Amino acid sequence: MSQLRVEGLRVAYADRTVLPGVSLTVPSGSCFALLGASGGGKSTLLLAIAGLIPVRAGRIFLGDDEISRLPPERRRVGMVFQSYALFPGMSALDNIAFGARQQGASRAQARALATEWGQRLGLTRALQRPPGELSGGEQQRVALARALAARPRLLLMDEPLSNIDPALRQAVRVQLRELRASWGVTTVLVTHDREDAFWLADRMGLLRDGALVQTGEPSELYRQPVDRDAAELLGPVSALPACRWADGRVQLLSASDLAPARDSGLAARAVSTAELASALGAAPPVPAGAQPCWALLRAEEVRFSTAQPASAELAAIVEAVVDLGAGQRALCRLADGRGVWASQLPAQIATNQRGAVQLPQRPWTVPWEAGLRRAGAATAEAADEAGASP
Amino acid sequence: MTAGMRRALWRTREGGALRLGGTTGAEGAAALVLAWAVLAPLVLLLAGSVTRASAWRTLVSPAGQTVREATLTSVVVSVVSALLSTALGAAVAGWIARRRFPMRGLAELACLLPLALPPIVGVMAFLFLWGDVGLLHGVLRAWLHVESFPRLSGVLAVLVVHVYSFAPLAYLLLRDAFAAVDGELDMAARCAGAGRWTRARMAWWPQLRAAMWSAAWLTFMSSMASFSAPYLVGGGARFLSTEIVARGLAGDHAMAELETVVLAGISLLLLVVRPGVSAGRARRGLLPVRPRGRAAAGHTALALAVLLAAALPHLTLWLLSLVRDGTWTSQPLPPSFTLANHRGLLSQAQSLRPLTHSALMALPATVIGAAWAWLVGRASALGPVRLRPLADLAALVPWAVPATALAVSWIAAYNRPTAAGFGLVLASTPWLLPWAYVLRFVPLQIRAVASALQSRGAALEAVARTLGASPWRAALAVTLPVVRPALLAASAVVFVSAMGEFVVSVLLYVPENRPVSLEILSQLRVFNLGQAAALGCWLSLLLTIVLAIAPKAADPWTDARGISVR
Repeated sequence: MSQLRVEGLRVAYADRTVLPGVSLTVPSGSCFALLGASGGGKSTLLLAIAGLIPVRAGRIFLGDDEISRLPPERRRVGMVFQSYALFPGMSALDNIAFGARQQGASRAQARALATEWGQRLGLTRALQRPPGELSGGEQQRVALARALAARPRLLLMDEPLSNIDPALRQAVRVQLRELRASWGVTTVLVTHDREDAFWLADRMGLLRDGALVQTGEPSELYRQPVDRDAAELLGPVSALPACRWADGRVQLLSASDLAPARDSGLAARAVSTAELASALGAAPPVPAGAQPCWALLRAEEVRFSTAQPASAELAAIVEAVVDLGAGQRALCRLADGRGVWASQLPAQIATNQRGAVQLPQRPWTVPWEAGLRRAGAATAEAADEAGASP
Repeated sequence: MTAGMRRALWRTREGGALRLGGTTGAEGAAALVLAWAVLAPLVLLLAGSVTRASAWRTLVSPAGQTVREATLTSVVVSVVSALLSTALGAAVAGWIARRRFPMRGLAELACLLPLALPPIVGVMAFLFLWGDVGLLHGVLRAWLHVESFPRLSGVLAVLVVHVYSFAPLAYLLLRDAFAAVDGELDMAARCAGAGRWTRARMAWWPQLRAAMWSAAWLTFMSSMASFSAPYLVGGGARFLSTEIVARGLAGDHAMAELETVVLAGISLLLLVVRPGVSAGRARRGLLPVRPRGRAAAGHTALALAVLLAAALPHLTLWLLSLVRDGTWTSQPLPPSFTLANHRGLLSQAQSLRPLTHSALMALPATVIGAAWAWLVGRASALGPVRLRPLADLAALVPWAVPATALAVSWIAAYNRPTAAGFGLVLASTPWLLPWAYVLRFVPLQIRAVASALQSRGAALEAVARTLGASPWRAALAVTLPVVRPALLAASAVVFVSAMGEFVVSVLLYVPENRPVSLEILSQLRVFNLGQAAALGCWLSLLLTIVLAIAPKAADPWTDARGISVR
């Protein structure tokens, strides 16, 4: 087991810099999940660590050994691709044995090792079959066994579950989680599926435009995202304009609080306060001593009840109810047009039902600028106002 | 490999320093040598002609009338050939792709039959089937009791031969395109109430357009390069390809070179505007139509008719080979049959010598081409971007430029020690022809290697490298097995093509290596029709056997059940 340490890694292509200088530490034996939007540099970082693309600057350490200048075959870094990249001319067994053969093991030794790994991953009956005759789950496990049988010091997995159908995916997640405890190899997992990351990772990192914008434990990133995009990457969130005092109190801003902004002429086009606030960009006026911010609310933090609202601002009407099987989620429309998703609901709930939403006392907030959508990250603002998705 | 990773690897190749597979070493050198071997003689020829102002003045003078006429005829015939071949290929491809009827396999077989006839053999068969003294002509005359019958000759005859020869190429291209048509678009249009023509226009045409354009381009280029048909059945019509040879044989090398430049120039111009075919994959294929009752019988009858039409030249060839020379004169059908032509061919070593010559040149050319293609194909698919255009160009030019033009450029380059010919004097030696076979046909093998590697070759080698394999070990142990079926299939086609090659051979052969195609022509010239046909039959049979036993260029990513494992 080895700790991975990346220092100021810079990767540039002919036309642009993809990784401007990433630094990252993954403790020995842990699994680190890299999340981020497409084109953010996740896969490039993996390829650079594996030595498959050249780096302009920076250093990579495995344990105390610097591997930055080593060719891929001498780094002892295993890789599992999204497509699995199984060698089509070989059986599953020979695929798994390939790494051991390259390291000098005899054919018999390599096959014995491959058989052992095949058994550990439940592939006994699939070992003699060519890749084309394996199911998606079996292919994924063969690719994993192949990487692990080569005794890597570091395992890199690039969206390893994205080619598996949803029914099988959960079972593979469970199996991988169990296996991870036993293989003990430091692992970096690239995924765009937050569930994969939550199931498998000890720590997570958000990579955006080649820079790690936040790292931490999964629950930390989920509960305390660095900005609105980070929050949305890890699950649906309702973003509401607010202001925050130094003592931590948070007050939502209503349409009337944003009234001066409406005078700017945008009001004619804006259909909601959040849209208006996002469109304006500039921070709205807030009471003295407070800072403008965004309250990021997860649905499970919001309660809807049929009781009388404590204040007019929190009066709401249920606009839609989504049955998620394990529970329900309701889109509650506040009086001034804002939408908030709530999953703490009364037993009986229906659309057009009137009531009140109850927000957490101290919702997580991000500074005003961090709550504005970045260019290119926008979805339809009207849908956004409603919480985008359940 | 994710899309992001593919992008990353691609950009890295753009950066020019990909570490995968060692593609910056031997592969780069192989691509450079091929590019030089192909392009330098053409450039030398072009430069020589450009500086020869008198030749260009001739082009616009009254003396250049023949060149202008040959150019116009070649272009017009090629355009018409391309249109007809593409239309026929598309009709047949659509018919076979959409309909499921009894004996559909025979229709598919019929589409491939013309490819089993080498050019000179095919034209010879046509000559004795449709020509003035042809079998069909005689039979129809006797059947209809008429003294004379409209003759098929000149430009019209060339067009018919072209359509027979090139429609299968268009069919092969369009068959794949029809297989890739997304049936969901058709279904969506149908659900929206669109009629057949609207669906064809809105759902099918956009998906087939690129392949149609490609098929037209390919058949146009093949037609421009065509030599055997204009040479044997063209009558008095002038074509650029035949004019070049005639001028050369007459000693008018300046004009021959000028015509070569015109021919090569038109081809290179079209090379620039060549269409790209996107390798789309259908989400859901077109639903096949299963005709019933009389409709099914009608389709089967049509399949049999197509098979008969495609097989007629083959049957004529065999029939001709069973006729003793001089016994079949004015009768509609041969009066008697004999195996003497075949016995004579197989019993006399001298008769088989041209066949041996061809095999001895085709086999090494195929093997050398395969090794070279492995390197250049890797450079084209996995190499740094600076190398890729060079490798692609080297693989495209010998295929796009008519063989006559290439042969003339090689004569110029290897006639004396020039840099373009690596300082070698190979003209008038037995070595130039096999070398020409390598250069002429290696693009087929390069395409096979590059296509097999493009989809996932980089990912496979990347995995092998992370598992401890050296660049060469990764290339040989992992990607070579992936490429092997396609490379072997392409090599079989190269062997077949080299065995029956005529255009380059007629310009570059020497008595010591006279190939079988030239022997057939010689026999035709002295009216030993039976022997010429017998030789053609055995050549065609050999080629059919090679193609039949060659591995299919199966998609390496498709398993035995035909299910994609991408």
